[in-house]
Amino acid sequence: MALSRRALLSLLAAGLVRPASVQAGADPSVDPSAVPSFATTWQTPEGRFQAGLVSQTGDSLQVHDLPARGHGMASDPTASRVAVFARRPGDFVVVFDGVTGRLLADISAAPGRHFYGHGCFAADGTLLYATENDYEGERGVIGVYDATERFRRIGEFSSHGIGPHEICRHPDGRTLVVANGGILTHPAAPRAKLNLAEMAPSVAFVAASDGRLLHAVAPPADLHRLSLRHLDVMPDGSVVVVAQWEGNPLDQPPLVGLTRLGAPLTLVSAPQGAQQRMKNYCGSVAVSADGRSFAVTSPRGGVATLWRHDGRFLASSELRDVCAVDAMPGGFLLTSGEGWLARLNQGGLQPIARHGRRFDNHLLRLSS
Amino acid sequence: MLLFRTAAAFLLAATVTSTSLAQEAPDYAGLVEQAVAASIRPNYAAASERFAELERAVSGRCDVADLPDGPEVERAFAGAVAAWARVQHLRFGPVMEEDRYLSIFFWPDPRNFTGRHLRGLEAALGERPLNADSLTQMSVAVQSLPALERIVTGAGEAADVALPPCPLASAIAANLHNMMAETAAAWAEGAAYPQLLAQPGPENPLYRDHREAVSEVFKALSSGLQFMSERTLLPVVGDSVETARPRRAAFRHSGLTMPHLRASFEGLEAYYLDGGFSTAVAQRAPEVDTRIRDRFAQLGATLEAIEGSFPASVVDPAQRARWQYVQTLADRLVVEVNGGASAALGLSRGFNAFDGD
Repeated sequence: MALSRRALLSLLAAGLVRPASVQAGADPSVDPSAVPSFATTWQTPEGRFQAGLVSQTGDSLQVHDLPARGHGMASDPTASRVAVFARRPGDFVVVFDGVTGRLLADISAAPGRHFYGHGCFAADGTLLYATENDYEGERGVIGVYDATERFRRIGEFSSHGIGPHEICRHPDGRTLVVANGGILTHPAAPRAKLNLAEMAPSVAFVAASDGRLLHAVAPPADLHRLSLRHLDVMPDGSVVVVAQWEGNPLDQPPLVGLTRLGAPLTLVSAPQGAQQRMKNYCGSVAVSADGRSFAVTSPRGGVATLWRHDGRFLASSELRDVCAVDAMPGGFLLTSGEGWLARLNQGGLQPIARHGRRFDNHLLRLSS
Repeated sequence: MLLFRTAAAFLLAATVTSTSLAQEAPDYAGLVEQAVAASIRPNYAAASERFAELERAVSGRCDVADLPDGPEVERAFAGAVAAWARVQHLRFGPVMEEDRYLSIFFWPDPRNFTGRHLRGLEAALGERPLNADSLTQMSVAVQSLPALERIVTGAGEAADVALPPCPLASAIAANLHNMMAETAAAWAEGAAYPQLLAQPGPENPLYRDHREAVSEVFKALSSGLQFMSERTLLPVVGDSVETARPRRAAFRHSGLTMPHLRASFEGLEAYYLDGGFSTAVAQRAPEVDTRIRDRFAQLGATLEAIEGSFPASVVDPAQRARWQYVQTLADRLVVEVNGGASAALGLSRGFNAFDGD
């Protein structure tokens, strides 16, 4: 717990919330409510880790210092609260007001748990779910936090797998969809082949009310090293999940999967050249606003691929160290570790702006 | 219009970057060749020989005794551990195939899978005979050097292992030798993997250009240092006498913790020097190279100066300052290699690509 106190102190000492106008690169003429804004995390040129809201040109609308590197973000349905999750194995989640930037909560990992880097709010915004590791019990859990009461942890349920990573809410409002990477990521316990059954990656559909397993899918046995880590859900409830291959690097397994409640997992590949460029590693995935396409980023290959909702490959574009992606008007917004923001659509990739910061893995669109 | 201007700026920036790199880039192809020929290949070959000696020592002892113990086995085990330490940082290529790496060195192991799985090995084998072949189908924890260590020293849960120690030690040693020999063979001249490293291109499934190949090879230095700093020193040495956990140390049963630690840092230093990285860094940033070499030297000297057994030294208040200094040096090496040295080689890795999630 010492660390979390330190985390809190560091947030306070750093003056967690600063007016946008004092931030380098901020444009005081930008009205946050008038432009599409995105929550994301980054590293400053000086090496500090921050989270905040940016416009699609990367201008800072809110900046918050973090005690360590951040990872995923979640917002409630009205985008009035934004949660930023520590990168695994992390011990903090900070929640701030999406409009004023006020710090609403600093959540420390429960004893025996660490955060895996992602979470989501319940459909009505009253609960926050976080993927966590019960590292003594060697099982993935979903921590449940009361968003109406200072984000007190009120319980947990099984993620029905090992190494839960990204979690999203299903459009039915009652179901959570979680990608279980399948690999226990306790830094001190590499576990390859220790327990093949436990290693199985999966996508689990879980009842948001009580954690019951409603449906689960997994890659075929010969692809049990396909770690399913990131996912997004389409407006019709279809789920796209993207993977990182932990097997022989010379193999080129499919990295993109599609499923839905009650349906099997269908894995799809890009054409040879693009598949090779993905380097067996997907960092993030996002579905377009209309649900007709999705974009997948592969930072190791420096490539973003565009796919039709049914898994048909459409195009690929290059951007070095690209990772974060979410929908934006007219396509997708991408950011890179080299500070670029770019727009991706059927027409290809158009650079928007470059900043000094290193944009981190994920991006969350907050408003239109 | 604005979009056009930013697009033009993007192209200009890309052109400037690639031009300046082209002018100043080190000889990436030569660097890969040197790292492979002068460091990786000979060190794997040496490790394969030491592992063969270990297999011979165990089987030789077992020809005349019921227990795989005695000075010859001890010497051979220490030789294998030292040879492994020289290649322990290489976590790419053939050693990562078929779980070889973890099957050779399953550590850290805070939950004691090694002991637990050794105890359960007889049941897990079922009808299968106990030999090197059947072991490959078992948990990586029972195949590795720490598992063999328990059997040859009779330490830990060895007494609870139902299988007879000599056949078990012989099987583990033979399987270890097989894995190391396969790894060394996969790095031999003309073998597939070194060719993939040496001949990048659009058709190459792993490396598009020489820079990517060098990145792979160089990354082993920084991730190896990071493993020493974050996984080996910090959780075991701790930051005070109170937080030291010497029982978590690698090879504590055989008393080889300290030799393994020293050999691991020597292996990293040798990789930096013999692998050609030092020369390449010195050409572009001599001060960075000097700092890295100095810190490796200081680290080695400080480890040498630590007296007594490893478990006693980490809880000895008089020696904490030395341990603290070792950790500081290891941390600084991580920073120097990831920062200055990477930049000097034009390899500053992607924030997301290198360390994604």
